[in-house]
Amino acid sequence: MLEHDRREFLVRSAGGLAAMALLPELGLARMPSPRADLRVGVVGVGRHGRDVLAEIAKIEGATITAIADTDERRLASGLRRTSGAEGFADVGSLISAGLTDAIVIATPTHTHREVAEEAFASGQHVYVEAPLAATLTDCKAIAASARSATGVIAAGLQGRANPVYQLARTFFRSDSVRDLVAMRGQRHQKTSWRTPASDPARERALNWVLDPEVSLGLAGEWGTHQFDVFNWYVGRYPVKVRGNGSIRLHKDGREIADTIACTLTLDDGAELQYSATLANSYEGMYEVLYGTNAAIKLGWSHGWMFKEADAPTQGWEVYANRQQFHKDEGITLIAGATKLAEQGKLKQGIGLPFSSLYYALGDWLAAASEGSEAACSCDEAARATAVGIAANRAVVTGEEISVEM
Amino acid sequence: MGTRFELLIADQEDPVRLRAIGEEALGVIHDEHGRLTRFEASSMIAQINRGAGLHAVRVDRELFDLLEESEAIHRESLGTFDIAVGTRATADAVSLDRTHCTVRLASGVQLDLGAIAKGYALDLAASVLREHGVRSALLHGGTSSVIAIGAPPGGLAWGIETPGLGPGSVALRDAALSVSDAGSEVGRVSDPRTSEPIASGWRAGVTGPSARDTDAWATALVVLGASAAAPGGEVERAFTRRGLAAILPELERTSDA
Repeated sequence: MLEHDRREFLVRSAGGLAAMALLPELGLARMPSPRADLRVGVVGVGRHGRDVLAEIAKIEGATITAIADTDERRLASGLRRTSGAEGFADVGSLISAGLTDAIVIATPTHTHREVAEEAFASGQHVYVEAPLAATLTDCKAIAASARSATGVIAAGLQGRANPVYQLARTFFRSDSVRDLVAMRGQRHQKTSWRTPASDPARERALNWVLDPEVSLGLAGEWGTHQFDVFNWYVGRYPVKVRGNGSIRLHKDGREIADTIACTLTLDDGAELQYSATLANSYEGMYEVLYGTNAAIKLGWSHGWMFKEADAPTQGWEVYANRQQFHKDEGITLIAGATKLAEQGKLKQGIGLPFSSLYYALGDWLAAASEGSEAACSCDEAARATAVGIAANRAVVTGEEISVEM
Repeated sequence: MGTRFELLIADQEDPVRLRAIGEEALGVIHDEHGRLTRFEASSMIAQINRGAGLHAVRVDRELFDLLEESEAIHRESLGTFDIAVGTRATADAVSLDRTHCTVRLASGVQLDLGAIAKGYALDLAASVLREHGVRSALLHGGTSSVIAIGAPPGGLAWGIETPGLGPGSVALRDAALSVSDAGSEVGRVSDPRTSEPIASGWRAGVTGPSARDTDAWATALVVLGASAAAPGGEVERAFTRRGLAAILPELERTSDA
């Protein structure tokens, strides 16, 4: 056998063997392709709303037909990012126009309840961005309304629809990781987190994430997405959280900490260490779950498993793709390994080709066209947001806070 | 876009606000990379390319306008600027439908916006700066395309050196400049009309109001070579219509954009 053929054989074998263990759970990774054409409206077309427009544009069978925003400049800019949608000043006008079957809510967190309840009542399918709301009262109200809604409702906690995260979870839930030791997560990004306003009157509204009266800070606005990953993997929820925060870089009069650290404790005593900062970008955003047999590291587009020397070998790892991290070697967790190996594209498939947002929106639209459940319910989003709210409270007060829900 | 973009804001205003404006402008460039690169499966251009020979792909109005403008420059430049990679054997190699906002590629044709995307992204970033009242700034992509907003504090214009295109520097104020280079080895740049490598050593620069136009035309001029200087032709008419000025090695330096 030629050396090239041998390598190809090993790659194909690796894909096939790995997939034997992974295929059952890979069935959960619903690829975005609604069976019926769906007309989608997007409420809130700021920076994140524009990301939503971009991802929906890539999903076959979905068309952006309407957008809404209270800011005229953003509305005009958002309309240029569609192929001919209508623009509206608010969600009520958008719904009344009858141009949509499904609505994405990408407005500021503290406005979600009012917009979501109006959207749920319309009977349309609704995707609510996460965190679900800025208060526990609003979280519970949205979750309750979602349960009685007639459309398919999804919350924007993207990890649950991410094919790499779904795949890695099968390992975590199997014997590969064994007993949970600890968890760690971070999101580091160097940015002011500030939106420039051409009109000074809009300054506060556009910079709501820096307004302590309505913002959940880094722990709530960012942390909620990552806390949900741990909730989903472990199947338990933190019961208390300690935290601290300070302003390390952006000494511009803001009150919201630009650097935070939290310790979240589960009911069995296991701990999750979480840090977030706007002052340094090193290593970006990831989550790690440490088990007695292995650790799993999740980086949104990539996932790796680091096995302990005494962990049992399951066979397929011998030929799996590996990546070196200083003194550790990670086994790359590849979604759809069999299919990629058959196409000779296993190498290209190491990272997800699309963003997590694409898979989350696609999962919701596919569920909407099938009448099935989306990957993340508002009940789960309310639980994760409750953790985020408690973590933010711990950072602000410096006290240990019990997680309520 | 596989290159480094840098931004200098020289306004003497609240640095907190200026940083936020700068981040917004660079964010726009980052977004455009994600939309326009052909090397990432998630981009809009990759999506269009996957539909080649199969079906039309609906795009947003912003991207449609860019593709339409690219095709206009293709015609004006006598085919020397081309976003289509592969053969244009038929007239419908790239079909744009404004009514439905769709683009359809013939089989074997792929889009590559590498010769216009940098300039286009710089235009969008500059418009963010202007929209927020920035009066003095310089931004560039890979040092081959640059936009000057106003002038530096105490100066009349930004001075940009263009090695290989004559002595001194180009004075730039509220204008864009792009340079293109065929490289030192034959074969680095090919003529899109013939796929033949063009002669090495030829350089060209273009100034004008839009970096999208200067970026595309700098590439076209490198392919056109000395014939670009021919007066009264299609190229000259396009330059006049778009407010462009050429900087060619044999020509007198154009110092005012």
